[in-house]
Amino acid sequence: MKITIQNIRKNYGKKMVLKDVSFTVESGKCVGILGGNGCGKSTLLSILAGVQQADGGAFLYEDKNLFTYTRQRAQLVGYVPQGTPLIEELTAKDNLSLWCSKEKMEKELSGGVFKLLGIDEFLKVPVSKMSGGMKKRLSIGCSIAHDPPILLLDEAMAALDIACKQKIFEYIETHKKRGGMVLLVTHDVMELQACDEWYILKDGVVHPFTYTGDTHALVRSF
Amino acid sequence: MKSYFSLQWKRVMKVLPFVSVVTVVLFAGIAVVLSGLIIADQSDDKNMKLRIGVTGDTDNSILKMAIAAFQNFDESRFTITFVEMEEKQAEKELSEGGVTAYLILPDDFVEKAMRGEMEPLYYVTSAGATNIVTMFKNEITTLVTDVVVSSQKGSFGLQEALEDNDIADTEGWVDELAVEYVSAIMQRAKVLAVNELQITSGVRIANLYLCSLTVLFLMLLGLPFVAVYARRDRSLNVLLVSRGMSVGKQLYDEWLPHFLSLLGLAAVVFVPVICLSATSNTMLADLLSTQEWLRYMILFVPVLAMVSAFNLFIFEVGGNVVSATLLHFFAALCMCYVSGCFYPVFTFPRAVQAMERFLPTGLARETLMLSFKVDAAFYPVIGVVAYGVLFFAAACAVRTYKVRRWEGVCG
Repeated sequence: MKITIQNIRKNYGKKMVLKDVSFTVESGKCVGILGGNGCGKSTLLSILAGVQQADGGAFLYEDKNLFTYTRQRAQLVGYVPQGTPLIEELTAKDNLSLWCSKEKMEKELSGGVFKLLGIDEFLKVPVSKMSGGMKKRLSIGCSIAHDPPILLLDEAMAALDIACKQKIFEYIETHKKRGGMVLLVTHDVMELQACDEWYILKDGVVHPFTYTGDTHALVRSF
Repeated sequence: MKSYFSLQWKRVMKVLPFVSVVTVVLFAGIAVVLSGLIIADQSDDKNMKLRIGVTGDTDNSILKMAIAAFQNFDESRFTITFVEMEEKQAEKELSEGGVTAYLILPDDFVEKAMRGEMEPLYYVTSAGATNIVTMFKNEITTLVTDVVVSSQKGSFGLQEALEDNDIADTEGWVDELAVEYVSAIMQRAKVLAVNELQITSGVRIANLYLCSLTVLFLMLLGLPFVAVYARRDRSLNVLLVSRGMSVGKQLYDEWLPHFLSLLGLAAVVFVPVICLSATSNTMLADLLSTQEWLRYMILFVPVLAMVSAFNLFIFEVGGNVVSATLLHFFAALCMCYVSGCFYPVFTFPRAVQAMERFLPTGLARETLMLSFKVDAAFYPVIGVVAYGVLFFAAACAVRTYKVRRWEGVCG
C-alpha cells in the first residue's frame, strides 16, 4: 500500500507554483516536505486534500486516481490545515461530534487516538478558552476522527510546546505502525526527526534530501 | 455524528440571549422613532398653525373684525393665527421661530384704504432658499394681503356709499358683507394644500413609516451575529471541503439557523405588537388591522430570507469582526438611506429615486407595503427572493475564493 504523487502542476495566473511534483509515500512511512516561504508546500497539500484543483497530474492510491474518486479521497485522507478548524463557541466534545459518531468518540477517548492526544483532559472546555496546544491537538483529533490511512499535516506543530509536540509525535508513530502514511509540511527541525524521508520543494519541483541533523546543510539546500 | 447545521444552530443559540437584548433595545428605539413620526404627522395634519405677528396700526375696530373673521372662517387645512405685538417683539420672535412671519400695518392703514389709496402691507419673514417653504410663505403673503386689503376696501367702500346716500346700516349689511368677503377670499386657501407627490405609493404615510423603519430594523438585526459568523480563520471551511462538504452546503447550513433565529426574534418583538393591536384601541390599532398585521408577518418571511443572505454575504466579505461590523453597519444604513427609509425618497435627485426601486432595501419595503394594498403586483417579492439568491451566490463565491486563497498564501 502506498500513495504516488505524479507530475502535479499548479499555476496561479502566470505564476507556476508547482511545475512537476512527483514522489511516493510507502505504507508506514512519514515524508517531510521542506521549503522556503511561499514555495508551494501548503498548496501541494491542499491539492491532495481536494481543497484546490491541480492543473495536471495524479494522486494515486492503490492504482486509483483520488483526484477523480473524490468521495473515496474524503474517506482516505485526513488533512490538518494551518489554523484551527474548530468552532470557537463550542466545546471539544461538540467539535468532535461533527466528525465522528458518539460511539466512536467514546471508544477513542477511552483508549484510542483521542486519549493519546490528551483530548479527554479538556473535553468540556469551550474552544475559546483553550490554549494553542489544546486547540492543535483537538484540530488533529477532528481531522483524523474517521481513521484515514493518509495523513496530511500542514505545519501541525507550529508554535506548540515540547509536551504537545511529543503527544503528536506519539500519534504519528502509532499511525505509522498501523500502516498509515504521513505527509508532513514543516519548517521545524525537530519535526524532521519524525520523518523517514525528506523532500525539498524548490522552484516548483521536489528534490530528495537526506537529513542527518546538519541544519547548515539543510539551509544551503533551500 | 452531528450535522454541521445542528452545530451551527447550537452556536446561534449560545449567543441568542445577547442578541435578544440587542434586538429588544433596537426595536424599542425604532418604535419610539415610529410613534414620534406618526404623532408628529397626525399633529401636523390636525393642528398645524402658522403664527403670524401683526404689528403697526391695529387700533381700528373694523380691521380687528376682519382679522377675527379671517381666523374664524379659515376653511383651509392649515389655519393661521394672527398675534398682535410690537415690532421689536415680532422681530425677536421671528428670529427664535416663535412666529413664521409678521405683518406691518402702516399708520392710518384703514383710513387710507377708505380713501382708496394703495398702501402696501409689509410682510417680514426669515431669509430662506427657494423651496416649498418659501413658496408657501409667498402664497401666505398674497393671501394675507388679499384678505386684509380687499376685504377692508370692499367693506369700507360699501359703508362710504351707504353714508353718501344717507342710508343707515341698521341690519349690519356692511359687517355681513365683510364676513362674506373674507369667506370668499379664503377659498384661495386651497392653493396651500400640500401635494404629497406619490411618497406614500398608495399607502398611508404612517404605514410607509412603519415599512421603512421595519426594513431598517431588519437590516440592523443581523449586526449582533457578526461575532458568530465573521471569521478570518478559514481552516474549518477548508477541512469541510476536504471532507467532501461543498461551500454551498456549508453556507446553507449556516444561513438556515441565522434565518430561523432572525425569524424568531422578529416574531418575539412583533407578535406582542399584533396582540396589542388586536385587543386595544390604541395608535397600533389605527396603524394596521389584525388582518394586515398577519399579511405583514407573512411578507416578513421572504424579506428576512433576503436579509439573512445579505448578512451572510457581508460577513464573508468582512472577514473579521471589526471589518464585518463596520461594513454591515454602513452598508445597511446606506441602502436604507438611499431607499428612503430615513427621508421620503422624493427629496433625492431623480437618478437616486430611480435606483431606490431596484435596491434590496427598496424592494423589501415595497414587499412589506403589499400588506396594505389590494390587487398589488407581486414583483417586489420576486425581486426580494432574487436578491436573496444573488447574495447567497455571492457569499458562496467569496468563500470559495477565500478557502482556496487560505492555503494558497500560506504555502
